[in-house]
Amino acid sequence: MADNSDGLKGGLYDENSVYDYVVNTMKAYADAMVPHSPDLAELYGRIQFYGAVESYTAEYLIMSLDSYPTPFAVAAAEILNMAAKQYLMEKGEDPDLPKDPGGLYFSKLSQEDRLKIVDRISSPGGIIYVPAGLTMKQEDIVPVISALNRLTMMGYYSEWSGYGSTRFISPDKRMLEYRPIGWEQVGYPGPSKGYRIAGAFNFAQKK
Amino acid sequence: MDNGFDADVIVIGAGGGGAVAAKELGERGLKVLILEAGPWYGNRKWPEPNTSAGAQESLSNEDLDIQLLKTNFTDLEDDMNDLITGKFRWGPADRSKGPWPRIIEKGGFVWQSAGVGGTTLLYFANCPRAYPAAFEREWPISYEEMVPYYEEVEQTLPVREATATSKEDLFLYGARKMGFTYTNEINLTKPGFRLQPNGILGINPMLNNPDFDLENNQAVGCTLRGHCINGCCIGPNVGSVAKRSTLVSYIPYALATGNVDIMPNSFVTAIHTGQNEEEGLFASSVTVRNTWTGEIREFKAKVIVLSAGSIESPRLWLNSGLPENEWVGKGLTTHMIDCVSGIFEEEDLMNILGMSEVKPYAGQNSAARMDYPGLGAFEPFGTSPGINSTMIYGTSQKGYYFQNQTREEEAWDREGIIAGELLKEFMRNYNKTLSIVVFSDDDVSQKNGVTLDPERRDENGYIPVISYEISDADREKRDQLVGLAAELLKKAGAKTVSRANWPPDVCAHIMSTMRIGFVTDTNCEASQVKRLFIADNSVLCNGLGGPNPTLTTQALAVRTAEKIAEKYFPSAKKA
Repeated sequence: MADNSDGLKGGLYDENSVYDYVVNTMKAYADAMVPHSPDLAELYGRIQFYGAVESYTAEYLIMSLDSYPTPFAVAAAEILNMAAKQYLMEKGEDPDLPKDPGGLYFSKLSQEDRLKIVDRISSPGGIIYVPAGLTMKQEDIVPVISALNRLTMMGYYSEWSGYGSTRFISPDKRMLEYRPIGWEQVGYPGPSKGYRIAGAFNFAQKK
Repeated sequence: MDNGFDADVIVIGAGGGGAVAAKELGERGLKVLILEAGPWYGNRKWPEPNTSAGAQESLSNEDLDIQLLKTNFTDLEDDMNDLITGKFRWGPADRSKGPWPRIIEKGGFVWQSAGVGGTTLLYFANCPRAYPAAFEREWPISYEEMVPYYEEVEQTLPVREATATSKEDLFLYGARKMGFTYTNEINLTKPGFRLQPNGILGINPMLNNPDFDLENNQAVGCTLRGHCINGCCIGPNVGSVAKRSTLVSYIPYALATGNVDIMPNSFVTAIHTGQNEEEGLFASSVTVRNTWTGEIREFKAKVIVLSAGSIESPRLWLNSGLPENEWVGKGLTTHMIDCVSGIFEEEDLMNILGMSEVKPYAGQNSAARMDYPGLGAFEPFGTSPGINSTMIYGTSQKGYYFQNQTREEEAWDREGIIAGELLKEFMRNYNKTLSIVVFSDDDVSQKNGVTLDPERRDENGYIPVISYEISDADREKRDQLVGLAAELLKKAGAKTVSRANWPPDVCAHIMSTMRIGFVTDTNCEASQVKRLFIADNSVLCNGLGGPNPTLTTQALAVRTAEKIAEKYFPSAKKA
């Protein structure tokens, strides 16, 4: 398709521009899910400002999608962008953006509109474009798209970003280098050997 | 064995059901071979269970190593629970390989783990009995007949009353405010709240002693550290770990008989049959694929017990070309699980709990419950923040919260996925949040279940396809029960309540795809294939009315082992 020719050079993928395309698309999604929040920062402290960008959540999504039996990150980015283009057309906007190596249509949308796109393609009827060559069917794509919400939260609020420089190596070799921002924001103290809080409560008493 | 058989009984799967059957058969002197698709954690024959193939088999408790288990179970939720690359996933031990594929049509997901212990590795260990009324509805055996088997498992695991912490206190406060009463029944016929009956050992009595060294704790007993779901490894040895997954209970009991041989990393891809005049078609052997080497072997036994779980058991039946049966793979129940959560003000928490936070990460992951025969059950829970957020804010069939208008009669303030700044605001209040998971009583429907994809295969055969359509009557029950849970949060003082509204094909309680009385006879022996028994959640006849299914599956597995011995090994007696 002509729309995807940005990543093609003489019929071959230019790996860097494909990478940018996928990363920018996933960043746009992760940013909509866990954005920067200056208002929360003002009210509750600077730590609340940070979001998915600082915790590499888009990279987590790409890594997860490419760990499925059928690697899916490039296809997911294409599906998101094609759905975004359709959405812009429906709104009467000129979707023919100038050649742009970045996240294209999807990242042009407002944060709320990006999520609406994800919701739209979370049902089989909502997917208008399945990338050529993908061995998955529409029904198989739906659960993977729905999983993006869970993956984002797991990527952001679990320990994963704290693996720091080891976050992309094999899971068996990763080392926790620091406390993730997500833990700081929610007040999770991290793993524990025990809490000295035993004791049933009055309300549990049988009488 | 020198009689041409590799074992008296082959058990396929070392999860919640298979481990129980193996222990019971081993105690009768029968030679049992367990074939488990996933890894074995805490066994020194597999010092690096996720990165190297290790040994073929283990037959002895001497091989179990608590220090190794503590190394394997890191208490970190992405490392342990990530559905794609985590240690508790449905996939091979080698995490550089992808998970085994399944197709879930409506956007749900399957929460299941391969490995010795199966999904009990990550379960909350809640062990309620089924509602008697659910047995009366469809089961070919009576609830009364099950009672001694329940008692047997309850004593063996053992099951005891859970220890509440702040999240339960708040939940029980709300339940009482709603006018519900405490129930001390174990055979439930009417609504009531109680502490969970759970498979977690009592609290370490030294826990509240400030001089007690938690870091180097070698004592028996739960320490309320909140890692039930991430993998419990608290105890002086593997067999006395606090949360009683079958990895630390029935598997060590089975090994102790000296008659049980366990091969992890061994995926059974086919069940083979023979035929004779006396029995007709009977199960005779299995084909096994080593998940590290790809090596294929065949093992013969006199009896085969299928305990691969509610998705893989029918898949294996279908992939093996066993006889057609209109109920194989059909009748799936899931409890149509949903979550609601409420955020509380500090002042209200101080008044109710005497502390300003709920601390969802501390304490047993779920230590209280509300039972409501006729509708189902719900329970408070709290976990590490990644899992907790995906459960209460990240899973919905209703899109994002801003796409939904809440109706006046609904007890929740928001519905759908919480995202954006509101997600951050809500998660900032993680420590002031009470989460409730709701299990609704869904009816068996032949439309729901597991089929094979007609084209696509993985190395283990055609891929399973899971489809589930919620009926109008079930949706009504579910909405009613979720409404009660939301109301409880409001009554307890929650300032804002959110309903997730999960897709009904999320499979965490996966039941009744190989139903007793339909696929099997009343002994859980396949009606069309002699010498093939089923001992996992798939053989449950329905969704039990809503209670968590593991205990019932385990009780039934004890009974099935007894029936196997009576029928095929009449001279075998329990030591």
